[in-house]
Amino acid sequence: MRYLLILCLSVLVFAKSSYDFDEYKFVSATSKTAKQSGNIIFEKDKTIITYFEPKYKQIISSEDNVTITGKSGKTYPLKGKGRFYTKLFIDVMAQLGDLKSLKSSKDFSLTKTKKGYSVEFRGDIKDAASKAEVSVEDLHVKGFKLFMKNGDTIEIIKK
Amino acid sequence: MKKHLNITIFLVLSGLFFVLFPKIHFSTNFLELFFSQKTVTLFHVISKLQLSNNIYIAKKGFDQESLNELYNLKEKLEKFPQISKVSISLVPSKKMQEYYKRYYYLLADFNDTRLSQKEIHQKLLSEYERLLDSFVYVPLDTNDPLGLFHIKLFPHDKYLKIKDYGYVLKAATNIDTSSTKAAKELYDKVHSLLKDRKDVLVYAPFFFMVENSSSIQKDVQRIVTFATVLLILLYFVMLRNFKLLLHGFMAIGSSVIGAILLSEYFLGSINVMVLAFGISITTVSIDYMFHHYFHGKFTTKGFIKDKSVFFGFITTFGVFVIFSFIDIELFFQLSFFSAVSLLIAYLLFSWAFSYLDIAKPYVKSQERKTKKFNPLFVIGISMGLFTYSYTHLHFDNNLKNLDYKNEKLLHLSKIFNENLTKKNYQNIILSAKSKELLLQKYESLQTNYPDMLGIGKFVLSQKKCEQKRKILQDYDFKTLRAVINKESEKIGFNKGVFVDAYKNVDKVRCDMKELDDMGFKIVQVDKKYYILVLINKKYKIKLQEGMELLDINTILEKDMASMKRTVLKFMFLSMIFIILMLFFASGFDLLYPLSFVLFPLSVVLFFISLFGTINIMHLFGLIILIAISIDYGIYIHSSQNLSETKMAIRYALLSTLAGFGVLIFSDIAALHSIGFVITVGVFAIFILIYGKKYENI
Repeated sequence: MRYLLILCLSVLVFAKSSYDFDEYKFVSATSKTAKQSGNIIFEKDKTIITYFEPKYKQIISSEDNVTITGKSGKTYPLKGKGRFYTKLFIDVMAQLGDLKSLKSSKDFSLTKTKKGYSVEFRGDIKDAASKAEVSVEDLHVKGFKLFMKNGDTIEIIKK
Repeated sequence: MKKHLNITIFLVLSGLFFVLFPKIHFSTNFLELFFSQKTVTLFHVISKLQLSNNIYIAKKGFDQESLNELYNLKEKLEKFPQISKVSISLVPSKKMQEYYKRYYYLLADFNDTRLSQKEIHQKLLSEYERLLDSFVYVPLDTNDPLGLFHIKLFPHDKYLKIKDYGYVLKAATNIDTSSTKAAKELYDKVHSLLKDRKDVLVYAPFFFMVENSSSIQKDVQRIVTFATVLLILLYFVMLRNFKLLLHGFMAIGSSVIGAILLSEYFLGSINVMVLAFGISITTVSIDYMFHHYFHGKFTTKGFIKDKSVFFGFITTFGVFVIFSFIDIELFFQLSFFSAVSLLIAYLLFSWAFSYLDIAKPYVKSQERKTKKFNPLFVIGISMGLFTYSYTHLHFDNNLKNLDYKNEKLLHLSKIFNENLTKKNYQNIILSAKSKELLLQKYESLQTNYPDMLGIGKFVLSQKKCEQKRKILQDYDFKTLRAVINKESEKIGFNKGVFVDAYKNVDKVRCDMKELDDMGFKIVQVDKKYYILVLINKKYKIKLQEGMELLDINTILEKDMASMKRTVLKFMFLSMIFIILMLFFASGFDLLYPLSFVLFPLSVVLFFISLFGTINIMHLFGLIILIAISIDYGIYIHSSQNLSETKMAIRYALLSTLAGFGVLIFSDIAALHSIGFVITVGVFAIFILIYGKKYENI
């Protein structure tokens, strides 16, 4: 019983949410779509995105840094535009991917749709993305699609 | 009729005061009192630059919940009329984005290398591959696909934050933060908004003024109550003469009102700090009253001609006249006020009081004959103490040490300053006669310190702007655009994606104007323009004309050191004057009354050197002490009836101790310092008066 209690407490303390996903990136300037697959883990102080396909890449976003690690293990920090957009998207992914965060976020204004929610952005995200669509099933987010101002789209489908 | 002279004068002056009150200008500007014109101008510039007009609120945690709470606070703060702007994100505002868009080609660094068709193709190809293959999404820049222009638009962090604590909200206020009333109102509103919120830290530089003045007020109230109780005890229990007390208060009141009216007439205004110190110095004149009272002069019905009181008064008056020549506004105004109020008090106590018919109190005569101390012995001791003090005393130039120590706010200030201010930068104030010259000065400085920050990042001088425009007009963007469109299609980009690339670059206009959102501004003070620039600490800056290193502590310390030198010089001059006056009053016997001035001074300096450093408020206290001690030396020396003189001095000293000495119990270093000087000084005078040898008759 004591071990069970410790196990339950450990699960609660070290709990971290994660999911596998497929990412579809449509670039309007080329009318082409690129597919990538990976996994995202949300920890207390950082978010880790690991892409497995088409090749291995790990992006770690913490409060102070955004780094990229390749297959060779070499890590480099992101700077400027790259860092800004990556951080922005990871923040958005964290909020769009979780129904509770989605509903409580001050950055969004939600409209209920057949499949889930249509999201309009407030704040800084509004300058980059015009809207998002979130599909929900059994009170869980199944996926979401970000519509960028330049016509690009990024779609995340949870596996 | 003459019996009511004191009351009549008091009522006339009070009536005049109430009639003229709306026209009397009470100034609360302490800066102009203490500091040089240069420092005062610098303070005006700082105030106009609004460098300390922000309120910071930090919420613990780096999660969405913390951000949500800050956004919730932002909404509420934006409704406060005193708040002009609230920001959480560091991303440029909408206004700034539009500004960047308009002047992008002028503000950005431009690489004007002519690219070949092959190079253009290669650049577009790598952009194409990046868009499809990269794991990091960065949208395509269709306006500048070749990256010819570069400007740092994206902040390193998206939010302001305190390391290991949480995100920070910044609210800019439009109130005059030097106004206690306005600052207190906003302080209360902000604190009431945050009352029930947990894990929130709030800080603003102006909170020091609000919290400290409230603490100072409480401290002063405590001290005033204590002093009042002591004075009531002194007058009612010991002296038991209500009529004398009432007339004494009226005479002091008349002297203060007279000094206020004349200060207003001659100086144009009166500073509240001068008023406070001036009233305190006026109360010193109570010793004229006690001297006359214990010598039974208030029944003489005519101007009381008392050589001791006259010499006491004229010496103190002279010292203040000398101090009025100090080129520091505080000393000038204070000396003027004190000289006028002491003159009125002297005239009232010597003339109006002579008609009051107040009988001489009973003073028990001493049965023993006192033997005067040897003044050479006392002066010898004083010289010894002066020498010790001279070798051990250090002047504290740091004005902050005189303020109330608000530990909680100092701790918060440290946390916020370390995390939010650009601590790796030196603050420099640039000045010039016109905005254009100021911007040119910035640009010339930028060649030496390329990573410096300031308004010049956003606004170019007309001269530089025209140069840049010429470079852009000379570059063939039309042909470049045609090549880009052709090559991009070959690579696989859709047709027309780059149709707007480098469009209208040659049509940019040099009409940039400062915006509040730039974070830097140009301000005008006294026909000159000023800006703040930040230069990395790694550089050793060569200051030129129109450049001032903004290090408030050093500037204030410099001013304080200069003030100290001036005050000491004038104290020395005053001592020469006192010696001359004492020579007039006592001839070659001047050493005896002189010891009443030197001994308390030396004892006070000795004790200050034992317990710490001497500050400007100690010097204030010493001036008051000189004013007190001159009179007593003369009274004692020329006294015909020592018991009565001693009794008069005892009451005057006890009054001074009750009024000034209680300041020693203050928590504020400035007040404590004055209290310390007066308390120790008064005890030293007591030693001289009562610590004499007695010999039986």
